[in-house]
Amino acid sequence: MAEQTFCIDFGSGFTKVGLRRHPTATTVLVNDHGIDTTDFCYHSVVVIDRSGPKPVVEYGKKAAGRAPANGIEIHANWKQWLFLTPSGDEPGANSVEAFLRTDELAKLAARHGVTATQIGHLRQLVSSARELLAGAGVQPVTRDAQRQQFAASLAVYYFTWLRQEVLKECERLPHAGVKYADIPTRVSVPAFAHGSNVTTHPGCKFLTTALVKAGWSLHPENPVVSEPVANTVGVLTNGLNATKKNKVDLGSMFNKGPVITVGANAKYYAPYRAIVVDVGGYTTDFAVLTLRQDGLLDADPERAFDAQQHSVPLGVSDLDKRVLSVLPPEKAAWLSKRSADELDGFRVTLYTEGKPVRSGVIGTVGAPGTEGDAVRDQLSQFAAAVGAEVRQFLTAIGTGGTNELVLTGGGVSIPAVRDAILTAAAADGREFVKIHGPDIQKKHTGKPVHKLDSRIARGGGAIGGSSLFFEPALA
Amino acid sequence: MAKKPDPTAVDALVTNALLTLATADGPRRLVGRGDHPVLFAGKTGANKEALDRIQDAAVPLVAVEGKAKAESVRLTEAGFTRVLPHLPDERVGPLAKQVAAVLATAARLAFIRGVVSRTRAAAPELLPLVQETEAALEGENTARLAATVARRERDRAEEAAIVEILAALRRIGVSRLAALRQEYDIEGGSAADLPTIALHTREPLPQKPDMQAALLTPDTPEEKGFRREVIRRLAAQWREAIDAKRDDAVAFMEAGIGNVRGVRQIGTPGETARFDGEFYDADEGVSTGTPVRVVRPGWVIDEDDDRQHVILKAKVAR
Repeated sequence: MAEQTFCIDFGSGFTKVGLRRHPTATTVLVNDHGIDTTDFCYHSVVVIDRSGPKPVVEYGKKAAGRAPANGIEIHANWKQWLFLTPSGDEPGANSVEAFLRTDELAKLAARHGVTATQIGHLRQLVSSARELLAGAGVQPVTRDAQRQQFAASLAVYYFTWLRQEVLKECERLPHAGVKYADIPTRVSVPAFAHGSNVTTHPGCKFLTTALVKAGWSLHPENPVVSEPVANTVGVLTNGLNATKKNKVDLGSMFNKGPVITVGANAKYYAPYRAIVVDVGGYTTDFAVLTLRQDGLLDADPERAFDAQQHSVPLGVSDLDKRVLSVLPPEKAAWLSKRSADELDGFRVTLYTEGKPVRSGVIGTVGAPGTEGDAVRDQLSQFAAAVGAEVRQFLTAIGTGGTNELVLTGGGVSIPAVRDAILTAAAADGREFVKIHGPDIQKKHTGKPVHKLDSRIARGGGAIGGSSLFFEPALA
Repeated sequence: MAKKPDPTAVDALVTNALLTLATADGPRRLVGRGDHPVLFAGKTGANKEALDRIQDAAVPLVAVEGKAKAESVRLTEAGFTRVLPHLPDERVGPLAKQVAAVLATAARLAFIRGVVSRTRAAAPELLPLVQETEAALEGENTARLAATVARRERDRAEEAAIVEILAALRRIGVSRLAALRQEYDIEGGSAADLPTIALHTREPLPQKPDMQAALLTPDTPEEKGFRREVIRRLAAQWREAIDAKRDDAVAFMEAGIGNVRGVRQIGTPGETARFDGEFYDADEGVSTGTPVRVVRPGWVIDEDDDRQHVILKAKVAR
């Protein structure tokens, strides 16, 4: 067991780091000043500048928002490459080989009397030429494998930089009896690696190897945790850690919530489920964690829950596109030139507060009248689309169970979206004993609610991943 | 009973004495033996009356300088005024200069103004004195300003130190509490069972006018968040005004943003800087350290503990 733990929630856009400074300390986010979430979100983007005599790698705020150029590479979403599953033979990696496999070529060949066998020989010829160029005895490397290797190398650089930033920030924290450089770390990984795969999945191995090379010491028992489990634990515990008679006091940590009630008396209750809906910038992610019969007693906390997950390409950026499409061209052009910060402000004003946005140059955007109605229409349609996805996903898991609903991501702060999710989740007679989400009140749900603050809503994975829940020695 | 002197004769004695003093080539004493010629032959009769009037405690017409044999007298402002109608114009300037030289600054300027308005011929003589006075006044103003600045800096340093001390005391409290909780855990207790102590609860500081500066500095996360949000929104409008080439609006907004405590401008248009992605933004790819030209400034907030929060990166080009 580790007395203290970091948890790195390595995201595609931003990375958050949780810290439990001693067994019963409330988990905090590194670099959280309670001002806004941008402080504890480290940019995951990496810039490699090869224009000089030596490549220069830059990270964080220095890398964010940079433009590419000849010799300057911007790697904004390289996390996904770590988790690719490259096949042994990937014809798509070579454009000539891909061309030789197209239906169009087959039709053209038939028209000119070229047989399928001849085309097959042509393919072999090109393939042999590729292997010859790669070198004798060298296995041809597919594009995915190359990307994966590149991401694994990049991860070492990135986590080295992240460690420096984290330790620098820890210098500002109380030092009584704590050596921050010696604290082991855990990393959260996407849901598909949940369960027994969590340590054996190649992507997870790349990640943990990179962390060790970067100087992090891995948690001795549970170095990897899946994202939905970590996030759910973070939300349900609020970062609280507690022990009683040298055992994890799950009752106190989960505030004696439904998961504890069901976990302690599983045979008397319907199965416990935590349903997580995360409406992000580009996707809406769903996860259902079902507590196993003896889940809370399992020596491996990662196995306490069965996990199902699903992701659809529908996010707040789609709402932006919809709104842009109904605005007058000059206003749409103005809006599309705003910075990321300005767009965030725009979304809060127009989508969350329902107020028109004022501009000194183009007047108001979404003012009451035709324009405001058009914007509201798009909001309603987007909310309905999210609601439909929620309903479709939940249909597969049935209506029974002791359910808690967890809403996270920037999209759930939009009242229309939140209401659509709540309505869809409750359709088919599904009941929730508690609902967790930002900007949520009991009057919205009629059920007990847990209003999430922004650090939990955005950093729940890092907070939950550092939890005492994942310390099996104390279970 | 002694006969009372004729008032006209006394007046004449006073005027004669003052005129003698005003036109004399050297020092004069009032009466009696000494190094300098006398203005009055004796101290009795009409001379006594004239001496009393000339040395009237309320409005003396002369002032005594030196002692014993070296004693002499000079005209006061009142004495000068009294004798002025009897003076030839060419004597007014030099005499007025002597009288003015011993007056306080404000009285000197009023005196000179009165003399010049009555006798224009005195102006050339008095001009150097006025110029000296002007220079002295400027010096006094500068010194007073410097003293005020120094005093305000001392006040600010004291206020900042008080704020720092309070913050340090709070940090020490938090650290101590964390250590105690940890100690409690090590001893076998559970820190989660301990009551939460609100260390931030404190009596409000007495609000003196000179504490306003300290109070304007955001202290709580909420205050800092509010400042970020306001500056972010204002900077967005400022950038729009620049894009729309509304120079007047840009100047006013820039002044407003720049005057907010802790807010600092990044670069000035046309300035050359070395590219740093944390503070600069370029439409084209630029390597760190490359010389670039600032096209549009940016804004950063200096927060506590040497932290900086970039609100808007400065736009640069090669």
